[in-house]
Amino acid sequence: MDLLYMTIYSVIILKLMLAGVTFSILFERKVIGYMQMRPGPNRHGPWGILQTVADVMKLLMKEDVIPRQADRAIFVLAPVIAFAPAFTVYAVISWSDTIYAADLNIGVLYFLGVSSMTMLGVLMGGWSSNNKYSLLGAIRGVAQMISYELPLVLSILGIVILVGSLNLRDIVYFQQDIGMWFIIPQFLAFVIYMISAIAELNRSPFDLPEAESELVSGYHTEYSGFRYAFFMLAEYTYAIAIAAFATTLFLGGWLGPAFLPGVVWFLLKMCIFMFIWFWLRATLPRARVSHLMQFSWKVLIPLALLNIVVTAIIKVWMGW
Amino acid sequence: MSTQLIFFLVLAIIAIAGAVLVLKLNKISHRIVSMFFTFFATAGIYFLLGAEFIGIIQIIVYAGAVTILFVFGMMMTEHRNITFGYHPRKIHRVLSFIGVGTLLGLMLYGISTLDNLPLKEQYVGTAEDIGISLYGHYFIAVIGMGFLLTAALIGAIVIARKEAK
Repeated sequence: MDLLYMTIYSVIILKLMLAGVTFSILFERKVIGYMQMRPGPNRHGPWGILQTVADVMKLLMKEDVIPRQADRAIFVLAPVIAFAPAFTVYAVISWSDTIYAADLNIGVLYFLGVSSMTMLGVLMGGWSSNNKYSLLGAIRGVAQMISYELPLVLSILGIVILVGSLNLRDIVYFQQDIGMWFIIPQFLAFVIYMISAIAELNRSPFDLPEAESELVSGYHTEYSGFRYAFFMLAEYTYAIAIAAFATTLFLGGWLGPAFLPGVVWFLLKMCIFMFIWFWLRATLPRARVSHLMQFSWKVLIPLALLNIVVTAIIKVWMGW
Repeated sequence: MSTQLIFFLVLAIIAIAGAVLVLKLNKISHRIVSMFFTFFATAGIYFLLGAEFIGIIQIIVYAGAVTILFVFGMMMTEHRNITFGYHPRKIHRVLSFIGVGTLLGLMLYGISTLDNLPLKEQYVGTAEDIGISLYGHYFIAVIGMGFLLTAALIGAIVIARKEAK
């Protein structure tokens, strides 16, 4: 019975997530459209609401092209390897006080560990395409993801020190107890987390692995049709997961005034994060590779370490 | 059949199949992917045993870092299909068969004697317990290892810089 419940839960989450990805792509195009003084997609359905559905239908009905020189087995497997971890991390995310799948004791660690495997899918996809642009994009992507994983993890450590637990639900309950969201006492960590999350997601302004002006489109140059759709799906799934994770850590998860249920608060806070990413994409130019690496190793990591030290001192001093 | 047993069988089959494919496949890239599945299934078995921390470390270190390291190794070197002539002598076959048979026998013996252990309540290795034992009982060893790894890292950077000049 437990197994049945788990299966139903994961299928529901998968469906909701597919819908979420569909509408977050529409949201992104609308936000960027309005920021650039144009209406954005508005032909399919009212307010262009069916635009992404039409795009997905187009991708699914396209011919499935696999280059002859490509390493076929790896080429086929790479989108799956990229998508599976991005979806698996939803297991530890707790949507409200009552809606959650796994109350894992090491939730934070699980999220970080599993999500880092998306890298392998990117690398495999880029390598197996047998295309220099793909390979360059994949190597850039992996170098960037490895570099920015460090500040991402280090920025979260401050919260873990304060709470004394790696359980995501405990982190939310702790924020309820002290009556304050972690964005206030851990603001530096929040800034570091946001910057490194954007780099982790390969989103603009750090979208060097997919730089269309120099690398055609990075590691998925050779992918088309539904395999390309799968890579896109993985990217947006991971973006939503990172937004949910940030909501839990910094914005108090499902906490909020009681006139709305917890889930609604959670989703609204996630929308804020998604909006910030689309906003940055519309406003900032792309960073340069050398700047990107230097920024991670020389600015973000020392700042994150400083944050850990300060947090530890405050914890001992204040006796939290 | 309990749920745990079903999951154990699935994970064990994936792990063993991956391990066999690492030996059987021709292309090194395919071997790396099957190795990844083996690591991942092993992590799943750790989770089934209630050792969550070890399971997640297995995913981070082996399925994540080691596999990426292998992929980079594959990309930096030639990846043409290199096959060794498959003509082992008869005596080699017999010897290796005896060796493997002995190992299997020893392992089966070991596993069968394990069953007599008293079944204690399931031990859950939490992160807190591991942290306390690492920074309590094994403090000097952990710090020493940290120094050693830092020295190795700095050494590697120094060697890499010299070449660039």
